[in-house]
Amino acid sequence: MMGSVTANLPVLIVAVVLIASYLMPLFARYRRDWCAPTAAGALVAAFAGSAALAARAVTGEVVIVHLGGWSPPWGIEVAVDALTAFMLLVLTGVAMLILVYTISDIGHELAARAVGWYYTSFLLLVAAMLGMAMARDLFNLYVFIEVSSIGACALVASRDTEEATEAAFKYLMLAALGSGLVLFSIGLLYQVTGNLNFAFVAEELTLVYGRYPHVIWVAMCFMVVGFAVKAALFPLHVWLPDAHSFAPSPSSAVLSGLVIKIYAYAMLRLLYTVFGTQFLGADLAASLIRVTLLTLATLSIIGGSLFALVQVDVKRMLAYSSVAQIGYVFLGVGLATPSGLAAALIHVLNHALIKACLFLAAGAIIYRTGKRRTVDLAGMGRRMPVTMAAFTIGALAMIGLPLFNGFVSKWLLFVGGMQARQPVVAGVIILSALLNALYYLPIIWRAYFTPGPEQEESQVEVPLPMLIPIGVLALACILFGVWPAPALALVNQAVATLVPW
Amino acid sequence: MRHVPALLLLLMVAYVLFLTMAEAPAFGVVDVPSRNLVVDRYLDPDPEETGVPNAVARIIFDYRAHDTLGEATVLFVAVGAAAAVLVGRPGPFATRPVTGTDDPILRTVARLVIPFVQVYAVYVITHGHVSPGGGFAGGTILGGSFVLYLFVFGPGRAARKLSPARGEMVEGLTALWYILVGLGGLLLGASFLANAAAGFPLGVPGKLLSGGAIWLIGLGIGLKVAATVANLFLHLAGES
Repeated sequence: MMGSVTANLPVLIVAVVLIASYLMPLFARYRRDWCAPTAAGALVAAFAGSAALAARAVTGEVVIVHLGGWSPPWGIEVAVDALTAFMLLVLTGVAMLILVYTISDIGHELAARAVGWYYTSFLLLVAAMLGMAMARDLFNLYVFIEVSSIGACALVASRDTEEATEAAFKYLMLAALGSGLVLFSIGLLYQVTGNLNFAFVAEELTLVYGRYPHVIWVAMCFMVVGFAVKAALFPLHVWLPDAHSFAPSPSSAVLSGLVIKIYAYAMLRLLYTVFGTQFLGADLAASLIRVTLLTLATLSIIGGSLFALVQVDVKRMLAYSSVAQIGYVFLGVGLATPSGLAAALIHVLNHALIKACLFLAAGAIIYRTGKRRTVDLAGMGRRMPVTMAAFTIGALAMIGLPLFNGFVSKWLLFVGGMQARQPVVAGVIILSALLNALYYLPIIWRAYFTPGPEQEESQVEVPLPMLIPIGVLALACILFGVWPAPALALVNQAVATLVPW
Repeated sequence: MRHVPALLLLLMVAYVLFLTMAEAPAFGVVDVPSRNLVVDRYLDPDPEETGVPNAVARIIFDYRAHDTLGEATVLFVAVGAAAAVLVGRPGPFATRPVTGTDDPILRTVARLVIPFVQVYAVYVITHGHVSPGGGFAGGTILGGSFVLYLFVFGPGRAARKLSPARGEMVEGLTALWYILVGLGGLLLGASFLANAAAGFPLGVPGKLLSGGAIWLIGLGIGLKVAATVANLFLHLAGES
């Protein structure tokens, strides 16, 4: 029996989170104080399982599960290789920290009756993202995309304000559009290949490419656009600023830190493994798609930063900053070089840590003082020293100063751009670092060096359960800045298995 | 004039899509890529490996049971999202509440029809593996009978038949049931969601008690879908 548990570990990780989420409404009604410990326990278990899988995957081992014992192409395959293990660790680790923060924070943001459902949606969203990370079947992937789309909208809509409801509705519509495009693409692929399993589709695609070239290109375009909408790539990001800024702070952290990344991951996985030979090919269409990706990514980086620059609301600024940061990931995908890809992946981790830290710190400030405007943060360094220190670390990491984790991803991306003979990319990265500095540094300056209003001198630090996740995230930003080796080991293994360069 | 660029863009996309469709394999033809060994095994007229004559039930509850677990979760998250949005707020019908009706004809007909609808729903759910229908279809019919009751007798009385608390319990426990059946496959030494491979008794194909895990999962899905429909209507009608 122990053997079948280890062999099925990937599905069990998803199952344990799903079970907790199914129980959540019951607990919310009859045993309200069981909700938080159960949710946290499930995520800790999922994190432990992911760590065990990562330890196996880093050596190059791939853990494969054939659900129901049906081998592909008949049954559904689920697999954990280095890339999936990396995503699982990022997802469960960051979600776990955000959940700890949520336990103290959420009572202040939502009506008591809605809290149980909030945990339900949160856990379902995490389970769906875990399912997406390990899916090796197009339709299985799509099912989890659906769960995560609705779950993410629920996290936004749970806040009882008109703005949040409107933002959630906008998000729901555009997320549905993205899902529709992806589903259409899956339909086309099934029509020409007759398979859903990634490996079988990829093999069939090389065989039928001569007969259905246009169908395959259109499928690829729909896939890219669908995921770009969901990952908020500029100019398809219009839903993101509202959704991420009006949501409760823990939702913002999970949406900005994890949800947009998982769609970028799904696109990366499909482009490199399913469309592998077509996407990486040397013909005109392939290079056109890669150049389009690079262009949109560049626009995202510059555009997102410029919009962030003019925001007065700190959460809205962070939301636009996410549009810029997702651009880095797509830039790495579009470069299609080993170090570009490694940079994209490591940035998934780094940005998840940084943005979760920043959103939670901003949430803590709002929790205590209700201040959302960047100009009102004067003197905050004295009033909330720990929170503001974490915010500062996050901001410096976002700018990409050495010793912080943001530097590692930007450096790799810079090298990747040079390797791909795209000096423009390298220029964009330097420009974007300057833009980031332009909107993050004034906040830090004001918080520490501008005295706040006279009557607000007392310290108002948030309770310890909220401080711990913020602190851990900030320390992780530094840890992965000075010692990125463990993360890079997994990422390099992932890049090596993704493409045989 | 503002819309001209958008229209031109749409025309371009339409042109590309027409080209694609012209090139794609035709529908209703035998010799297409999607007619392959996968489909042959799914539609095998002699269902000895799943023990279920209904090919749809075979695919959704056995070959691709993991997808259906996801679909069941979509229903769950839909109710969760509706609850997260609607609990503690005036529902969408706050200005024109659903009150039920005093019309004796409607009330009498509903009283007469609902038991038959429910018996039929139970039949469809329990026979999903041997005949068309199954958990999803039967569950919707069962939920539909509740919706009829809600509209005729008002949400207050409907909530006394199935309170939102009870509905949520059914919702959660039936979803849990799906995973537990799946874990049963794992505990019996095969993989998650395994049926015959884990030793679930398949019985005689075509009999009521046959199909192993397919039948068990189908029952849970039936109740779950019914609870989803009922819960969504209760939430929308402002009962929570």
